[in-house]
Amino acid sequence: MYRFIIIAIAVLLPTQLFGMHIAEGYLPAQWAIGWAAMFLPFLFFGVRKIKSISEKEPKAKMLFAVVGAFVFVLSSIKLPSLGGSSSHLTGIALGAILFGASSMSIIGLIVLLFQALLLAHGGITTLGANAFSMAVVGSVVAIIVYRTLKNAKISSNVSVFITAFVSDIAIYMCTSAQLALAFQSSEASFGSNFLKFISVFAITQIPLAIIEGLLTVLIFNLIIKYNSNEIAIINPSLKV
Amino acid sequence: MKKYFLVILAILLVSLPFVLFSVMANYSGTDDKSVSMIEQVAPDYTPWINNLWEPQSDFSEAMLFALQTAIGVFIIALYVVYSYKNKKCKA
Repeated sequence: MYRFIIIAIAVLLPTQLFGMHIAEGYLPAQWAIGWAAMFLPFLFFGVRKIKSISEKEPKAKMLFAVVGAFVFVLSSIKLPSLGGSSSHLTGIALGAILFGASSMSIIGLIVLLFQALLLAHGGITTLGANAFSMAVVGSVVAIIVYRTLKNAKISSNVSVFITAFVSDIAIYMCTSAQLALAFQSSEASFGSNFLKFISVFAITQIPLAIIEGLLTVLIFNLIIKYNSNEIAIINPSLKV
Repeated sequence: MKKYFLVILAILLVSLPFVLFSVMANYSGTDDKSVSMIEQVAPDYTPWINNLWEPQSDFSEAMLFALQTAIGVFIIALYVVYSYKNKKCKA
């Protein structure tokens, strides 16, 4: 399985290199390659982790499919938001909480490939950067937020909601930072670029992040209701 | 709870292509907006590669988005039905 993914990446990388929500061709080549290189280790650990988890608990594959399907659904929902623009959700936080951060890199890659190849949404050359912001930053932030809230004894519903909300916003902040970094110049500093890009993404994203939070709570409770035993094996440190 | 969830899924699945289509016809996505922002910040930059393939029309794009939604909803629905039946058998 992971051999196939690595071969696929090796074949695809030289031809194009753009990621998640940064459009194809809109990231200079050195940045595109750099972000892809930063994403690959996470993908490697993610594949290993999923392999070992599914050996321990056969039902993990089914749950991983559900978590992936959730990302599929949410990232395909384009909703009109403030300022007459449309934007979409990511759904990454759910899987990050249940399976850990590295596992989500696999799902992020699949969704982004689907959107890049079939929908001309994002791109192959921006794949590394987009996967990094969505699957790595989004899920690492999700795990930190969730653990902090649970340690503070916040209820599960509230914790999951806030986690999904913050993770969604973090992804768009990361995308803004990636664009701001790549397009720095003497006239356009990182700071001013970042503010410009964040104004495009973040404000339209806030109402969507709320919807994302609510949907994540809904499906999180569903999985916990039916499969709490399996989740305890998959992620023993998870506090529900 | 579960019935409520399935109803939401069904409504989403049926209405989505139409919602998507009308949304796409009238709004430009943040991705397009970020592209125009890049053009503003770095006017000399030209994209060095184009998408290999693009949907030919807004309608087919909406349908492909709907396909993505449908794949996801289908898997989640399978899971819900499977878990529900499983629980019933045990009980």
